[in-house]
Amino acid sequence: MHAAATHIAGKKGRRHFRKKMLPWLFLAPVIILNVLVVTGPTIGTLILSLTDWDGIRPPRFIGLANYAGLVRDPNFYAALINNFKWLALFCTVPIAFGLIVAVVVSRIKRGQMLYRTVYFLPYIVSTVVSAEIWNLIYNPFFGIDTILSKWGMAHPPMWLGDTHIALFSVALVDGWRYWGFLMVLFLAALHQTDKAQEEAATVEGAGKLQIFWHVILPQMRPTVMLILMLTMIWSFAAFDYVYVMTGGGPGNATELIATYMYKEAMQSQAPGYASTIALAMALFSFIIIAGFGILKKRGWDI
Amino acid sequence: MDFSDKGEVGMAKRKAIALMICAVLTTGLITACGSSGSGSAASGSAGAASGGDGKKGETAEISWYLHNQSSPEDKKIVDTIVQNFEKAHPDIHVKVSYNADPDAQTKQLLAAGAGPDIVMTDGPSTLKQYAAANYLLPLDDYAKKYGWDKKFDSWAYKTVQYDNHLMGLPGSFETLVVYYNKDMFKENGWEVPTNEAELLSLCQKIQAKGIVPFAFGSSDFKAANEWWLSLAYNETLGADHFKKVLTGEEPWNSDAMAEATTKLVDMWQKGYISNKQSAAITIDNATTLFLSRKAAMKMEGTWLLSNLIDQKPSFDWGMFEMPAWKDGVQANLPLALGDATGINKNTKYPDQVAAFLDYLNSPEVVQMEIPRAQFHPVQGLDVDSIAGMDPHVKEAYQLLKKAIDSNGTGYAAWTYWPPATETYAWGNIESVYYKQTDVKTYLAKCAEQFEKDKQQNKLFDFAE
Repeated sequence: MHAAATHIAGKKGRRHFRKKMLPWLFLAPVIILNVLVVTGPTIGTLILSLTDWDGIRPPRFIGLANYAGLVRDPNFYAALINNFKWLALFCTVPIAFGLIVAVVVSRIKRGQMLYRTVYFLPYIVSTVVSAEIWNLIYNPFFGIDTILSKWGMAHPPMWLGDTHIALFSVALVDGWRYWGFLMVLFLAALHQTDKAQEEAATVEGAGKLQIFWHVILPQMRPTVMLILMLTMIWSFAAFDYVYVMTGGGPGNATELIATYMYKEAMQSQAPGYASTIALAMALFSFIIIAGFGILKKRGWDI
Repeated sequence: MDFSDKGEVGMAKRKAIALMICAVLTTGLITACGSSGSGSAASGSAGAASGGDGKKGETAEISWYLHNQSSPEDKKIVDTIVQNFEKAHPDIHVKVSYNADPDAQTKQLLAAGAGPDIVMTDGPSTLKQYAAANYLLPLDDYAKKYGWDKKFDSWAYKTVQYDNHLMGLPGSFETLVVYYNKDMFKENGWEVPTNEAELLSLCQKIQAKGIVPFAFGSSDFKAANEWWLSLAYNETLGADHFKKVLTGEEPWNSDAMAEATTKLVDMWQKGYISNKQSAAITIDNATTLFLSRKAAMKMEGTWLLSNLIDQKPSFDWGMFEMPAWKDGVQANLPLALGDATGINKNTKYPDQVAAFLDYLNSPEVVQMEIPRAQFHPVQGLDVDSIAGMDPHVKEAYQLLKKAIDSNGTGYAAWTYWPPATETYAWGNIESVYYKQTDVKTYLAKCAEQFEKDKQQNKLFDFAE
């Protein structure tokens, strides 16, 4: 009797164990992958940020010296300010433009696909290719400026050579690529709105603008918030167009945190310090995600 | 038949299958990671490993990483070199890998204990850092075997010594010159400048004609700014005086250095260098500017020669040495080694790599590369005997050799300046051009970086 009870208990225990273990085993590949490519490197970055590693000699522990250096680094602040400008631009211009064009395109009955495709096209062009094309357009000696000069403009803008406008010139190119993608997201959201509500509002005498503002837009809030969150995070990780088009210049006029981090790691032989910059970048992304998390807890649809 | 039992058995079977799939997936992932890791190590540590253990009778595969931006003509030369070497050494196979950034790749692999067998660096400065990190094999025994100490010019041979050991072989040497449109100069009655006043006056005249005096671009390669910095400091202070700055006898923020920096900044702000658009155009754009006659001159290294020969400008062109930027200072050619090559400490075929390095510096190869403006610091070269050599290349070679022989060379950034100082200098000079910072602050920061380099024992060793 006792043996049978022990046997049953053992069987139950094994079954319970298997039941508990099975999900973990299924998750194991993903967890291992995550540890290898996310958690591991993150811990590595944290450790490196406490060293003076130059990428060649063995790293030496220097405590919080890199962090102390970062808060006194004018180049970091210049990059940070540029990142905020970038964020402000991308959270307004391409989103507004994408939304407006999506609404207009959604009303088109014939040939809508053509418009969608044409506007989305820049998004599928490789970053380097589109950046190089725009570099040619902006070229002060062979680009659009030669046409502007022929048209009588005495001093055409130095798109990438003027510290006051270079960042906006690069942002324009990134925005040109980005807004088509946003438009497609907005179009998808527009197709999911409740048409009955629009009809009801029309019957009640609401104008088109009122319907858009009070009926359509509230229904699109989850999409708008998601786009805002992604845009904010991506703004802090922006790198490619600046790297290809200006390398952060002229001076540090277009330097972003990501390009500055890359330079410190690859050119200045300071991967230790670059790790500190990377963590600062991660901190900003975390703040953004946490902010949206708080909004969600307060009942916002995100 | 007890269906409930069958169901339990079925469930157990499904669980077992699921567990097996899971185990296989997990093992597969681990194996994949493991094999990719060992794969990279194998392909890294190297070509060495890929050929076996270096036992007699088998083919030794040695790896060599090169830049994929080389011109087709230069790639052809590499192919010929490898073919000829393998013909003479049938037991050795040289595996050439072209890569967008072989320097960075090599650095990362060496840090992981791997890397190519032939460690090609961008110059003595990096080679010495690798030597300090114990990545390289001392070559003293091979030097004796192949007589390298007698083969190379002593100035170049000295640059690849570390801690009293030979750690690599010097690669091609180069300098900075001014290329100019001879036709344009003739048409306008302009003369090649011989001093600072003439240089500035010439720039003024060229600009007045609506032509860009100097074509120069750095948007794709910010480090190009150090070409101008090298000229500014060598031509304003003179080589001997500037050497005192590089050895730490005189601070980087001395009055003389401030004067030199100010002269460069003034030239840039007057629009003499790409009409103040150097940060907005690439190096190739600048070459196009020169080739399209929109610029009268182009300051660049002797490496541009092969490009100009390939492009065949539609006008007669020549080159001259940048004049001194201050009265009483001797003009000089900032000298540099464009590369330096060592042997990976972990290679399984050190003898074979040494044999290949020796071949790379043999008269046969060196004479093959000179027409492409790759000047090796190898003694006893007779350039007159090289058939079909472009006269511009010959002129540049003779100009450089003459300067070396008559002590008329200066110190180019990428060979003689310590790494942190060098990177800060070229990385931040644009901020001075654009008045985001002033000369005083810029040089104070350079001095700070120099102290850092000094503390880490990274200054160039000028000891005889």
